Amino acid sequence: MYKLISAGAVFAVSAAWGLGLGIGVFGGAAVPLGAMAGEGITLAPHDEVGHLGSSWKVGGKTLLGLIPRLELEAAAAYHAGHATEHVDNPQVPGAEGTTLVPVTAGANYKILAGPSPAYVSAGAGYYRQKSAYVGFMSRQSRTFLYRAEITIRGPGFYVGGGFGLGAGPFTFAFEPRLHVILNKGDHTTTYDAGGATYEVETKKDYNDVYVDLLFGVNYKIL
Amino acid sequence: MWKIIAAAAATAAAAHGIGFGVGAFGGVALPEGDTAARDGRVVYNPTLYGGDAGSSAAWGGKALASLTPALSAEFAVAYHPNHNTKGWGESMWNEAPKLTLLPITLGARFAFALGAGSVYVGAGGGYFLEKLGLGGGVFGGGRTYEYYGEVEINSPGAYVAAGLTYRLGEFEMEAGPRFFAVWNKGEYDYTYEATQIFPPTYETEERSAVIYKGFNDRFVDVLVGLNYYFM
Repeated sequence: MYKLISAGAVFAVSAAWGLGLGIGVFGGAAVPLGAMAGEGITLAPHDEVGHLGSSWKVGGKTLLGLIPRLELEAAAAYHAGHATEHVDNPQVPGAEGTTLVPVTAGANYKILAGPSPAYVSAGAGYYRQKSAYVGFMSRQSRTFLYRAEITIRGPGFYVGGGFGLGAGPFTFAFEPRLHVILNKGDHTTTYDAGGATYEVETKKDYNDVYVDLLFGVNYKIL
Repeated sequence: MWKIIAAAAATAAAAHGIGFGVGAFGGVALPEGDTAARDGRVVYNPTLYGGDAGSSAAWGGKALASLTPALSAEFAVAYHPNHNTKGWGESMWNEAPKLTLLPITLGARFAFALGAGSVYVGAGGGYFLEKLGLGGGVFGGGRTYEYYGEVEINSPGAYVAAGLTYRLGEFEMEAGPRFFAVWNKGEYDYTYEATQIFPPTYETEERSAVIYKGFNDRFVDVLVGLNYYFM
């Protein structure tokens, strides 16, 4: 009896205040823009590589409805690999690509409410980017094959929008979003060459910008 | 008289759920499978080596005919302006091989109405005009040449698609991925211009070769579009 009353009260309050809880999964493409797509990373003075291509992206989210038109969102995603499409320097014959993990929190505001909502979104988060390259380096009159790895962490934010199509507790959604990662600055590249490890300061002179074209399914638990 | 015929046609079309529209779309094209193979090397025998194809922008236009509220026919022309190919490890390359693609397709779309829009699946076939630009340097007989030419790889293909639409009056927003399979494995003529750079005569001559492409191409386009139904 107690459980029944509690559940009833929770549902009644939720409905009255627009409270709701949901989970979702999404996938799509992440498309680099600007310098992220056009310049790449200067690993060292002589190792310029660049042109990150688009990547597949998957992720999951939790949604918390606060009032009828506003919901909070926490999401984590994974970019499977932005291929480095053009290498200017023959000393860098290979790139293993760049993966990216954005962990974000934000809000969605429904400009059209109802079972087919259209909404705008904004939020912020923390972005972890990892790139690896293979090349040749000369040290003490010897040439080594090296593998270089660089992990770049930084805060960022996103703005976007989308629309949803409701079918019972499920909503199918399309969500394009523009992300800006504030990761311009000095970072450390670790070189593994000939059994030895070297660390080199790497200057990244631009922030990363990309657009997500995401499709998802959300499920309303409450 | 024409106005009466047009009005009658519009009335009949509306009665049967028939509608016509045009649309424009854009997005990104992601190579898949062997087209994107990240093994660092794709071989075009006997002498040419290409690289792995990267992503490209994609855009195009389409004409739509709604045959019933759920079923539409679609004719689309798209363009992938540049899939950069990596060509790593090939010291002979002066520039990365360039791949462009122009899919011309005809297909059908079946939509499941949901609220203000629909979830749809689609499929179709078409003809794919692909160009691969190859250039580099070659050494032989004490001479060095620079060369560049394009291979035209035109073949049939097919697609399957899925996505969402959102209707706002006579406009419809559409978003979804589209998987293309192009059956273009085979031999192709490669005509190129070779310029002698050493000894430096800079004389150019046209040459030709046969290139074997050992795989079929696959792409996924992730597209966003806007359609307008005028009837």
